[in-house]
Parts: sequence; structure tokens; C-alpha cells
Amino acid sequence: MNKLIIMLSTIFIATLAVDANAQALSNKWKMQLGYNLSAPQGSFKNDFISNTSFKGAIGEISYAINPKFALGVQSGYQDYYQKYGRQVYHTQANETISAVVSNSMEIIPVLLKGTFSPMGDQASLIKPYVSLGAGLNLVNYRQYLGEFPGSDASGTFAAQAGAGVMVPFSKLNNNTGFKLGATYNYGAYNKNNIENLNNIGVNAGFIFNLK
Amino acid sequence: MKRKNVFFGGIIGLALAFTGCSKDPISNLTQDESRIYITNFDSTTNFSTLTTFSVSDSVLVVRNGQATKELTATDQGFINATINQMKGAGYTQVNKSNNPDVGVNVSRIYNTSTGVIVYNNYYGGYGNYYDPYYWGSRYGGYGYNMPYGYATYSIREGALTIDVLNLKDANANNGIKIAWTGLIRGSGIFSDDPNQQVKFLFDQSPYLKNR
Repeated sequence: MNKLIIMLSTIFIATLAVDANAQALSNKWKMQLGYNLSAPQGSFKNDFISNTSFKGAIGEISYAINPKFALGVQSGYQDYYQKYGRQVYHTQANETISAVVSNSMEIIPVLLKGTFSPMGDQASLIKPYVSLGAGLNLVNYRQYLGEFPGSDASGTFAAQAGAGVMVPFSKLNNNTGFKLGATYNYGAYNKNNIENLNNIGVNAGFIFNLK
Repeated sequence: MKRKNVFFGGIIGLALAFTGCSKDPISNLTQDESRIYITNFDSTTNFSTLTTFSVSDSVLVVRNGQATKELTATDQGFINATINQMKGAGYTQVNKSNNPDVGVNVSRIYNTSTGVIVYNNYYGGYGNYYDPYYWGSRYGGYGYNMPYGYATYSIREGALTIDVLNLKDANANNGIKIAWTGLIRGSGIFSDDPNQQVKFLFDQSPYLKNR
């Protein structure tokens, strides 16, 4: 957790520094860095991990095609974990295992993402946006029976729909600000007795001009 | 363009940095939680017809395929715990010279040379470790028969096994069938209370009480 705080502080300072250098340049390239929490849904929640993950981050670089539309690449990291108390499992015909099961899922999404901001360049205290993305989840599945691990890494299809608001730091530069949003993430997955990696994410971070 | 590459690199770096935040599930386990208890049985054995038992007077220690008999205080603890659980399941303890219906072997298994034990290999060599004559001269011509297989279980440290051998039906079976096996794997097997550990194996095997 300390690592997370240090990293987010670094991101914030970097945001201000980069922005100071970029004031005079074009506003077309932007970067967003932020914190993300994620609540598993569906089979992901029912069959593997029901705990909300508070260990996550997102980063996005986007290019403004026009003041209202931007196209970008988003990545990030989310770490899910849950420990289940000792239970008895029937694993083969006559075989029974009593174990404490620990489930762990790490997801690194890489998405191509379009964002629509209906207010465009207009000065405003709050600027809403909606977004759609699709790409790949890099998935690292781990399940421990007691201290004995099983793991499986894979790449699977991912899609995302999101909405949120951007709060500009100042009226003079309304491309730099605080961003708060929510996403619904579809994650294809059909193995290890899990049918999908769907989750709802809530993110908070900073957006700033890159170039 | 160079600047863009730096920031794309930054996103990937950020994702990689966060992977270092991943919780190690094993570090979140107590010694007790690290252990798993696996049982398996021969479905053709009618446990209700087996009423008397005897437990071997020492523990077989298998190290790297070599077997010796030992009896430490911990070994005696596991033997006593096994006797108590067998009695609790309704079996009557008799001297092995009184032709018990089942013989019970308690074993410690280690493999220090490769660091891995594959249980199927251990049971494949069962006859090399346990002399059928131990249970009486009438079993001298018989080999051991493991009627069920385990999945690919392998371990890096010691394991404890309890095997219930069907002596009563050896003639009809043309060999000594291993009717039930309990395996304990994980940390602290030989330092924690044997009674609780052996109890787990019997509690998850209610068919042993089918009489």
C-alpha cells in the first residue's frame, strides 16, 4: 500500500511538471494517470473472487481528433485476491481434499479507447465524458490449495464502456484537471471454472497535456 | 515522437511496477492453513465388513526411494492419533498376530535429491517399502495393489501418509489392496499436533464409519 501512495504522489508531481512544460504547446496529446478500484461481477465474482480489489492503477495516452473526440491507448494493473477458510472439496471420483484456498488474479488490460466529451473546449467547472474501448487482458490466474500453487497466464479479449467527469484545474487551461470515472469491463475468460472476468471499475486520477 | 515513446514506456513501466504490489498468498497463510489433507479410497471395498485393525509399531520413513523404520516421539503421536481415530470410526484394535481385517501403515515421505515427490511413484514402489510378511506369513506371496490414482501431486518437503490395507480380502483380491489413503502435505506437519491433523483425514472420510 505504501508503494501505491508513493507512486500516486510521484504521478501527481510528474503531472504538474509535465503540464508546466507543455502549456505553450498543442493540446492534442494528453495523458491520464490514476488509481482504480474494481469490483468483480458475474462468474468472476461468484466462482473465484468476490472481494473488491483496491490495488489498481490506470494510465492512458490519447490524441484529440477534434475537441470532442479523442482516441487513445489505455493500460493499467489490477490485483484481485481472496482467501477462503478451510473447506472440503471433492476433486476426483473418490478423492477429497481439505484445504484453505487462496485465489489470485492479476489483470493488465491494453485497450484501444475512444472518448467523447460533448462540451469539447468549452470552459466549465465540470466536463462529462463517455468512452468505449476494446483490446486485450493479460491475465495471470493463480490458485493455491494450502501452500501449493497452480497458475495459468493467458491473453483474452477485453471491452470497456465508461463514463465520468473531468474537473479542470483552471479556466485558462481546461485540458488539465482531475478526472473521476466509472467503467464496466467485459473480460472474456472460459477456463479454470471461471466464465468471465467482468468487473466494475471506479477510477480517479489526473489528466494533463503531453505535447 | 521520442517523447511519446518515453511516455508509452512509462505506462508499461507503471504496470510492471504495480505487479510488484501483488500480494503473495503464501505469506498470508498460517502453518495450519498451509496444509492440505487428501484422502482417497477404493470404491470396491465394503468397509462395513472390516471390523478389526492393527497399526504398524513404527513409522516407515521413505527418503529418496530408500525406506527405514523409525519411531520418534512425533511418530508415536501420529500412530496413537491413528489408533484413536480408527477406534472412533468403530474398528476394534487387535494384535497383528490375531489376523486383523485391516493393517494400517503410517509413513513419512521425503525427497531431498530432486526436491519433488510424485505420489504415484511412491505408491508404485509400495511393495518395495513395505514387506507383506510384516502382517503375517500368509500374505507373503502377495503384492500390493493401489486401485486408485492420484493426480499429479508433488511436494518439496515432507509428507505424512496413512494407508489402510485390506488384509481380510487379500485372498479374494489376490493381493493386498490399499483400501484407503490419507495424505497430509504442507508446513509444520511434524511440529504441530498430530491428533488434529489425523482427525481432518478421518472427518472427511465418513465412509470409513459405514458399519
